[in-house]
Amino acid sequence: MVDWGEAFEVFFVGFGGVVTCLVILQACIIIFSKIASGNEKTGENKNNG
Amino acid sequence: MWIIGITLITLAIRKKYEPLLLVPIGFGMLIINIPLSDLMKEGHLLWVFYHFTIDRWDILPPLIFIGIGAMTDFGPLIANPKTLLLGAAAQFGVYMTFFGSLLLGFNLHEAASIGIIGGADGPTTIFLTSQLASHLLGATVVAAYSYMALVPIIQPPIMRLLTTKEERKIRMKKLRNVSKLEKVGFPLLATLIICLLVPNAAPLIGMLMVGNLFRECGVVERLSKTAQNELINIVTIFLGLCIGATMPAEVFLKPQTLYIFFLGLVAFCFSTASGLLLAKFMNLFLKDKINPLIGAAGVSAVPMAARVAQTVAMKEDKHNFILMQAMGPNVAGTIGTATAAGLFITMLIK
Repeated sequence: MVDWGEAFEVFFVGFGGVVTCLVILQACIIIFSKIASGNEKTGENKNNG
Repeated sequence: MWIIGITLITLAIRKKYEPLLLVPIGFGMLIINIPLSDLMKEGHLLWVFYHFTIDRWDILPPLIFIGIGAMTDFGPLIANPKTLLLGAAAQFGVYMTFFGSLLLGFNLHEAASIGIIGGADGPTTIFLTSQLASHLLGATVVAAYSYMALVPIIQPPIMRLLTTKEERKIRMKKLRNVSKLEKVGFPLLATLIICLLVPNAAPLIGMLMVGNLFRECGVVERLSKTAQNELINIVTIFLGLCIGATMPAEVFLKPQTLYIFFLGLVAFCFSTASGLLLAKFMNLFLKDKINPLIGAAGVSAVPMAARVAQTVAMKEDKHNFILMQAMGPNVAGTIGTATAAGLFITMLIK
Protein backbone atom coordinates (compact mmCIF):
# COMPACT_ATOMS: atom_id res chain seq x y z
CA MET A 1 0.00 0.00 0.00
CA VAL A 2 1.47 3.33 -1.06
CA ASP A 3 1.86 6.01 1.59
CA TRP A 4 0.56 8.93 -0.48
CA GLY A 5 1.46 11.43 2.23
CA GLU A 6 5.10 10.42 1.98
CA ALA A 7 4.87 10.35 -1.82
CA PHE A 8 3.67 13.97 -1.95
CA GLU A 9 6.36 14.95 0.56
CA VAL A 10 9.03 13.35 -1.68
CA PHE A 11 7.58 15.16 -4.70
CA PHE A 12 7.36 18.64 -3.19
CA VAL A 13 10.50 18.56 -1.08
CA GLY A 14 12.43 16.72 -3.80
CA PHE A 15 11.50 18.83 -6.81
CA GLY A 16 11.45 21.99 -4.71
CA GLY A 17 14.86 21.05 -3.33
CA VAL A 18 16.38 20.58 -6.79
CA VAL A 19 15.00 23.92 -7.98
CA THR A 20 16.14 25.71 -4.81
CA CYS A 21 19.65 24.23 -5.04
CA LEU A 22 20.07 25.26 -8.66
CA VAL A 23 18.60 28.76 -8.07
CA ILE A 24 21.07 29.30 -5.21
CA LEU A 25 23.90 27.99 -7.39
CA GLN A 26 22.81 30.35 -10.18
CA ALA A 27 22.87 33.34 -7.82
CA CYS A 28 26.30 32.36 -6.51
CA ILE A 29 27.70 31.96 -10.03
CA ILE A 30 26.47 35.45 -10.95
CA ILE A 31 28.04 36.97 -7.81
CA PHE A 32 31.27 35.02 -8.28
CA SER A 33 31.51 36.06 -11.95
CA LYS A 34 31.13 39.71 -10.95
CA ILE A 35 33.85 39.40 -8.30
CA ALA A 36 36.12 37.52 -10.72
CA SER A 37 35.68 40.08 -13.50
CA GLY A 38 36.26 42.90 -10.96
CA ASN A 39 39.52 41.22 -9.89
CA GLU A 40 40.65 40.93 -13.49
CA LYS A 41 39.92 44.60 -14.19
CA THR A 42 41.86 45.61 -11.07
CA GLY A 43 44.76 43.43 -12.25
CA GLU A 44 44.66 44.99 -15.73
CA ASN A 45 44.61 48.52 -14.25
CA LYS A 46 47.63 47.71 -12.05
CA ASN A 47 49.51 46.34 -15.07
CA ASN A 48 48.66 49.46 -17.12
CA GLY A 49 49.53 51.78 -14.23
CA MET B 1 17.79 -13.47 -22.77
CA TRP B 2 20.42 -14.54 -25.28
CA ILE B 3 18.35 -12.88 -27.98
CA ILE B 4 18.05 -9.65 -25.96
CA GLY B 5 21.79 -9.66 -25.20
CA ILE B 6 22.71 -10.23 -28.84
CA THR B 7 20.17 -7.57 -29.92
CA LEU B 8 21.83 -5.01 -27.63
CA ILE B 9 25.28 -5.89 -28.98
CA THR B 10 23.96 -5.69 -32.56
CA LEU B 11 22.32 -2.29 -31.95
CA ALA B 12 25.56 -1.03 -30.42
CA ILE B 13 27.68 -2.24 -33.33
CA ARG B 14 25.40 -1.51 -36.29
CA LYS B 15 23.51 1.57 -35.08
CA LYS B 16 26.18 2.89 -32.67
CA TYR B 17 23.59 3.08 -29.84
CA GLU B 18 25.70 3.85 -26.73
CA PRO B 19 28.23 1.16 -27.81
CA LEU B 20 30.60 1.71 -24.88
CA LEU B 21 27.93 0.48 -22.52
CA LEU B 22 25.58 -1.67 -24.54
CA VAL B 23 28.37 -4.00 -25.73
CA PRO B 24 29.52 -5.00 -22.20
CA ILE B 25 25.92 -4.97 -20.90
CA GLY B 26 24.76 -7.22 -23.74
CA PHE B 27 27.70 -9.56 -23.19
CA GLY B 28 27.13 -9.67 -19.43
CA MET B 29 23.48 -10.48 -20.10
CA LEU B 30 24.49 -13.28 -22.45
CA ILE B 31 27.10 -14.90 -20.25
CA ILE B 32 25.01 -14.81 -17.08
CA ASN B 33 22.21 -16.71 -18.81
CA ILE B 34 24.39 -19.62 -19.88
CA PRO B 35 23.26 -22.58 -17.73
CA LEU B 36 25.80 -23.60 -15.08
CA SER B 37 28.11 -20.68 -15.88
CA ASP B 38 27.72 -19.57 -12.24
CA LEU B 39 29.48 -16.23 -12.73
CA MET B 40 27.07 -14.48 -10.35
CA LYS B 41 27.25 -17.16 -7.65
CA GLU B 42 28.66 -15.84 -4.38
CA GLY B 43 32.44 -15.59 -4.59
CA HIS B 44 32.57 -15.96 -8.40
CA LEU B 45 34.01 -13.43 -10.84
CA LEU B 46 31.08 -11.17 -11.73
CA TRP B 47 29.52 -11.52 -8.30
CA VAL B 48 32.74 -10.16 -6.77
CA PHE B 49 32.79 -7.20 -9.20
CA TYR B 50 29.11 -6.49 -8.68
CA HIS B 51 29.02 -7.04 -4.93
CA PHE B 52 32.00 -4.88 -4.06
CA THR B 53 31.78 -2.12 -6.64
CA ILE B 54 28.04 -1.54 -6.97
CA ASP B 55 25.90 -3.44 -4.50
CA ARG B 56 27.94 -2.95 -1.33
CA TRP B 57 29.97 0.21 -1.83
CA ASP B 58 28.40 1.81 -4.90
CA ILE B 59 31.74 3.21 -6.08
CA LEU B 60 31.59 2.76 -9.86
CA PRO B 61 29.04 5.53 -10.66
CA PRO B 62 31.00 8.20 -8.73
CA LEU B 63 34.21 7.05 -10.47
CA ILE B 64 32.49 7.50 -13.84
CA PHE B 65 31.55 11.01 -12.70
CA ILE B 66 35.24 11.90 -12.23
CA GLY B 67 35.72 11.12 -15.93
CA ILE B 68 32.56 12.99 -16.96
CA GLY B 69 33.69 16.03 -14.95
CA ALA B 70 37.10 15.93 -16.62
CA MET B 71 35.43 15.87 -20.03
CA THR B 72 32.84 18.59 -19.33
CA ASP B 73 33.25 22.25 -20.10
CA PHE B 74 31.01 24.21 -17.75
CA GLY B 75 31.87 27.44 -19.58
CA PRO B 76 28.47 27.78 -21.37
CA LEU B 77 26.71 27.35 -18.03
CA ILE B 78 28.91 29.94 -16.28
CA ALA B 79 28.44 32.37 -19.17
CA ASN B 80 24.65 32.03 -19.02
CA PRO B 81 23.73 30.86 -15.48
CA LYS B 82 19.97 31.18 -16.04
CA THR B 83 20.19 27.97 -18.04
CA LEU B 84 20.51 26.22 -14.66
CA LEU B 85 16.75 26.78 -14.37
CA LEU B 86 16.19 24.79 -17.54
CA GLY B 87 18.24 21.94 -16.06
CA ALA B 88 16.04 22.12 -12.96
CA ALA B 89 12.80 22.18 -14.97
CA ALA B 90 13.80 19.03 -16.81
CA GLN B 91 13.76 17.20 -13.45
CA PHE B 92 9.97 17.66 -13.41
CA GLY B 93 9.73 14.56 -15.63
CA VAL B 94 11.60 12.58 -12.97
CA TYR B 95 9.06 13.48 -10.30
CA MET B 96 6.00 13.06 -12.54
CA THR B 97 7.15 9.55 -13.43
CA PHE B 98 7.75 8.88 -9.76
CA PHE B 99 3.98 9.38 -9.35
CA GLY B 100 3.16 7.40 -12.48
CA SER B 101 5.17 4.46 -11.13
CA LEU B 102 3.32 4.59 -7.81
CA LEU B 103 0.01 4.46 -9.68
CA LEU B 104 1.21 1.35 -11.53
CA GLY B 105 1.83 -0.42 -8.24
CA PHE B 106 5.54 0.13 -7.61
CA ASN B 107 6.62 1.09 -4.08
CA LEU B 108 8.30 4.41 -3.18
CA HIS B 109 11.87 3.11 -3.59
CA GLU B 110 11.13 1.46 -6.92
CA ALA B 111 9.22 4.53 -8.16
CA ALA B 112 12.18 6.81 -7.41
CA SER B 113 14.53 4.45 -9.28
CA ILE B 114 12.24 4.43 -12.31
CA GLY B 115 11.63 8.18 -12.23
CA ILE B 116 15.34 8.96 -12.33
CA ILE B 117 15.48 7.43 -15.85
CA GLY B 118 13.94 10.75 -16.97
CA GLY B 119 17.17 12.48 -15.97
CA ALA B 120 18.83 10.61 -18.86
CA ASP B 121 21.93 10.02 -16.80
CA GLY B 122 23.15 6.41 -16.69
CA PRO B 123 25.60 6.58 -13.74
CA THR B 124 23.06 8.46 -11.60
CA THR B 125 20.40 5.84 -12.41
CA ILE B 126 22.81 3.10 -11.31
CA PHE B 127 23.81 5.01 -8.18
CA LEU B 128 20.22 5.54 -7.06
CA THR B 129 18.74 2.20 -8.12
CA SER B 130 21.49 0.16 -6.48
CA GLN B 131 20.68 1.88 -3.18
CA LEU B 132 16.90 1.92 -3.39
CA ALA B 133 15.79 -1.02 -5.55
CA SER B 134 18.75 -3.14 -6.66
CA HIS B 135 16.41 -5.84 -8.07
CA LEU B 136 15.38 -3.32 -10.78
CA LEU B 137 18.96 -2.34 -11.64
CA GLY B 138 19.18 -4.16 -14.97
CA ALA B 139 15.86 -2.94 -16.33
CA THR B 140 16.27 0.71 -15.26
CA VAL B 141 19.83 0.95 -16.56
CA VAL B 142 19.07 -0.65 -19.93
CA ALA B 143 16.03 1.66 -20.24
CA ALA B 144 18.12 4.73 -19.34
CA TYR B 145 20.93 3.96 -21.80
CA SER B 146 18.51 2.90 -24.54
CA TYR B 147 16.55 6.14 -24.30
CA MET B 148 19.77 8.18 -24.11
CA ALA B 149 20.77 6.57 -27.40
CA LEU B 150 17.33 7.31 -28.82
CA VAL B 151 17.39 11.04 -27.94
CA PRO B 152 17.60 12.01 -31.65
CA ILE B 153 14.41 10.04 -32.31
CA ILE B 154 12.39 10.80 -29.16
CA GLN B 155 13.02 14.53 -28.72
CA PRO B 156 12.45 16.19 -32.15
CA PRO B 157 8.70 15.42 -32.41
CA ILE B 158 8.13 16.83 -28.90
CA MET B 159 10.21 19.89 -29.79
CA ARG B 160 8.20 20.55 -32.94
CA LEU B 161 4.91 19.94 -31.15
CA LEU B 162 5.57 22.43 -28.37
CA THR B 163 7.28 25.24 -30.31
CA THR B 164 6.30 27.40 -33.25
CA LYS B 165 8.43 27.86 -36.34
CA GLU B 166 9.25 31.42 -35.25
CA GLU B 167 10.39 30.24 -31.83
CA ARG B 168 12.68 27.64 -33.37
CA LYS B 169 14.21 30.38 -35.50
CA ILE B 170 15.17 32.58 -32.54
CA ARG B 171 18.85 33.46 -32.71
CA MET B 172 20.64 33.79 -29.41
CA LYS B 173 23.41 36.19 -28.47
CA LYS B 174 26.94 34.80 -28.63
CA LEU B 175 28.13 33.64 -25.20
CA ARG B 176 30.69 35.81 -23.44
CA ASN B 177 34.19 34.50 -22.80
CA VAL B 178 34.58 32.89 -19.40
CA SER B 179 37.80 33.61 -17.52
CA LYS B 180 40.07 30.90 -16.12
CA LEU B 181 39.37 32.13 -12.58
CA GLU B 182 35.63 31.52 -13.10
CA LYS B 183 36.24 28.07 -14.57
CA VAL B 184 38.51 27.05 -11.68
CA GLY B 185 36.19 28.58 -9.08
CA PHE B 186 33.04 26.92 -10.42
CA PRO B 187 33.73 23.31 -9.29
CA LEU B 188 34.67 24.55 -5.81
CA LEU B 189 31.59 26.75 -5.58
CA ALA B 190 29.20 24.08 -6.90
CA THR B 191 30.63 21.44 -4.54
CA LEU B 192 30.29 23.69 -1.51
CA ILE B 193 26.74 24.77 -2.27
CA ILE B 194 25.19 21.50 -3.39
CA CYS B 195 26.98 19.27 -0.89
CA LEU B 196 26.04 21.59 1.97
CA LEU B 197 22.39 21.60 0.89
CA VAL B 198 22.13 17.93 -0.18
CA PRO B 199 24.92 15.93 1.51
CA ASN B 200 23.73 12.69 -0.11
CA ALA B 201 24.52 14.13 -3.54
CA ALA B 202 28.18 14.52 -2.49
CA PRO B 203 29.47 11.23 -3.97
CA LEU B 204 28.23 12.23 -7.44
CA ILE B 205 28.60 16.02 -7.35
CA GLY B 206 31.93 15.85 -5.49
CA MET B 207 33.46 13.45 -8.01
CA LEU B 208 31.99 15.37 -10.98
CA MET B 209 33.54 18.57 -9.71
CA VAL B 210 36.93 17.12 -8.77
CA GLY B 211 37.18 15.77 -12.33
CA ASN B 212 36.30 19.21 -13.64
CA LEU B 213 38.86 20.85 -11.33
CA PHE B 214 41.55 18.53 -12.77
CA ARG B 215 40.55 19.75 -16.22
CA GLU B 216 40.38 23.45 -15.49
CA CYS B 217 43.22 24.08 -13.02
CA GLY B 218 45.81 23.38 -15.71
CA VAL B 219 48.48 21.93 -13.41
CA VAL B 220 47.39 18.27 -13.23
CA GLU B 221 47.13 17.44 -16.89
CA ARG B 222 48.12 13.81 -16.24
CA LEU B 223 45.26 13.33 -13.79
CA SER B 224 42.83 15.01 -16.16
CA LYS B 225 43.87 12.79 -19.07
CA THR B 226 43.72 9.66 -16.91
CA ALA B 227 40.22 10.56 -15.69
CA GLN B 228 39.05 11.24 -19.26
CA ASN B 229 40.53 8.08 -20.74
CA GLU B 230 41.96 5.18 -18.72
CA LEU B 231 39.84 5.61 -15.58
CA ILE B 232 36.48 6.04 -17.30
CA ASN B 233 37.24 3.25 -19.79
CA ILE B 234 38.22 0.71 -17.14
CA VAL B 235 35.24 1.60 -14.96
CA THR B 236 32.91 1.38 -17.97
CA ILE B 237 34.02 -2.20 -18.69
CA PHE B 238 33.26 -3.38 -15.16
CA LEU B 239 30.10 -1.31 -14.89
CA GLY B 240 28.67 -2.67 -18.16
CA LEU B 241 29.52 -6.30 -17.38
CA CYS B 242 28.13 -6.05 -13.85
CA ILE B 243 24.89 -4.46 -15.01
CA GLY B 244 24.45 -7.10 -17.70
CA ALA B 245 25.11 -9.75 -15.08
CA THR B 246 22.21 -8.52 -12.93
CA MET B 247 19.77 -9.70 -15.59
CA PRO B 248 19.17 -13.42 -15.33
CA ALA B 249 16.02 -14.42 -17.21
CA GLU B 250 13.94 -14.99 -14.04
CA VAL B 251 14.58 -11.39 -12.92
CA PHE B 252 14.36 -9.60 -16.27
CA LEU B 253 11.59 -11.39 -18.16
CA LYS B 254 8.65 -10.03 -16.19
CA PRO B 255 5.76 -7.68 -17.10
CA GLN B 256 7.34 -5.28 -14.59
CA THR B 257 10.25 -4.75 -17.02
CA LEU B 258 7.86 -3.60 -19.75
CA TYR B 259 6.27 -1.14 -17.30
CA ILE B 260 9.73 0.21 -16.48
CA PHE B 261 10.53 0.74 -20.17
CA PHE B 262 7.17 2.45 -20.71
CA LEU B 263 7.57 4.68 -17.63
CA GLY B 264 11.15 5.49 -18.63
CA LEU B 265 9.89 6.76 -21.96
CA VAL B 266 7.19 8.81 -20.23
CA ALA B 267 9.84 10.28 -17.92
CA PHE B 268 12.01 11.22 -20.86
CA CYS B 269 9.14 12.89 -22.72
CA PHE B 270 8.03 14.84 -19.63
CA SER B 271 11.59 16.01 -18.95
CA THR B 272 11.97 17.21 -22.53
CA ALA B 273 8.59 18.97 -22.49
CA SER B 274 9.08 20.67 -19.13
CA GLY B 275 12.44 22.13 -20.22
CA LEU B 276 10.88 23.45 -23.44
CA LEU B 277 7.88 24.94 -21.67
CA LEU B 278 9.98 26.70 -19.04
CA ALA B 279 12.15 28.21 -21.79
CA LYS B 280 8.97 29.54 -23.46
CA PHE B 281 7.78 30.90 -20.11
CA MET B 282 11.13 32.60 -19.47
CA ASN B 283 10.82 34.31 -22.84
CA LEU B 284 7.78 36.21 -21.53
CA PHE B 285 10.10 38.14 -19.20
CA LEU B 286 13.46 38.18 -20.95
CA LYS B 287 14.70 41.05 -23.10
CA ASP B 288 17.12 38.81 -24.99
CA LYS B 289 14.90 35.89 -25.97
CA ILE B 290 16.20 32.36 -25.69
CA ASN B 291 15.51 29.69 -28.27
CA PRO B 292 13.12 27.31 -26.44
CA LEU B 293 14.81 24.33 -28.10
CA ILE B 294 17.70 24.65 -25.66
CA GLY B 295 15.22 23.83 -22.86
CA ALA B 296 14.95 20.29 -24.23
CA ALA B 297 18.69 19.88 -23.63
CA GLY B 298 17.96 20.10 -19.90
CA VAL B 299 17.77 16.30 -19.84
CA SER B 300 21.38 15.28 -19.21
CA ALA B 301 22.39 13.00 -22.14
CA VAL B 302 25.51 15.13 -22.70
CA PRO B 303 26.17 16.20 -25.44
CA MET B 304 23.57 14.35 -27.51
CA ALA B 305 20.58 16.44 -26.31
CA ALA B 306 22.40 19.70 -27.13
CA ARG B 307 23.25 18.38 -30.60
CA VAL B 308 19.61 17.47 -31.19
CA ALA B 309 18.56 21.03 -30.26
CA GLN B 310 21.13 22.33 -32.77
CA THR B 311 19.90 19.98 -35.51
CA VAL B 312 16.24 20.93 -35.03
CA ALA B 313 17.12 24.66 -34.99
CA MET B 314 19.15 24.32 -38.20
CA LYS B 315 16.22 22.70 -39.98
CA GLU B 316 14.40 26.06 -39.70
CA ASP B 317 17.42 28.31 -40.20
CA LYS B 318 20.66 26.92 -41.56
CA HIS B 319 22.71 29.70 -40.00
CA ASN B 320 21.29 29.46 -36.48
CA PHE B 321 23.97 28.04 -34.19
CA ILE B 322 22.66 27.28 -30.69
CA LEU B 323 24.91 24.34 -29.78
CA MET B 324 27.02 26.22 -27.23
CA GLN B 325 23.93 27.84 -25.69
CA ALA B 326 22.30 24.39 -25.46
CA MET B 327 25.33 22.98 -23.63
CA GLY B 328 24.42 25.21 -20.64
CA PRO B 329 21.12 23.45 -19.78
CA ASN B 330 22.66 20.16 -20.86
CA VAL B 331 25.37 20.21 -18.17
CA ALA B 332 22.91 21.81 -15.73
CA GLY B 333 20.75 18.72 -16.26
CA THR B 334 23.63 16.50 -15.06
CA ILE B 335 23.94 18.56 -11.88
CA GLY B 336 20.14 18.60 -11.45
CA THR B 337 19.75 14.83 -11.83
CA ALA B 338 22.58 14.10 -9.39
CA THR B 339 20.96 16.50 -6.91
CA ALA B 340 17.56 14.83 -7.41
CA ALA B 341 19.16 11.43 -6.72
CA GLY B 342 20.71 12.79 -3.52
CA LEU B 343 17.33 14.13 -2.41
CA PHE B 344 15.60 10.80 -3.11
CA ILE B 345 18.21 9.05 -0.96
CA THR B 346 17.85 11.63 1.80
CA MET B 347 14.09 11.24 1.90
CA LEU B 348 13.69 7.52 1.32
CA ILE B 349 16.57 5.93 3.24
CA LYS B 350 15.92 6.53 6.91
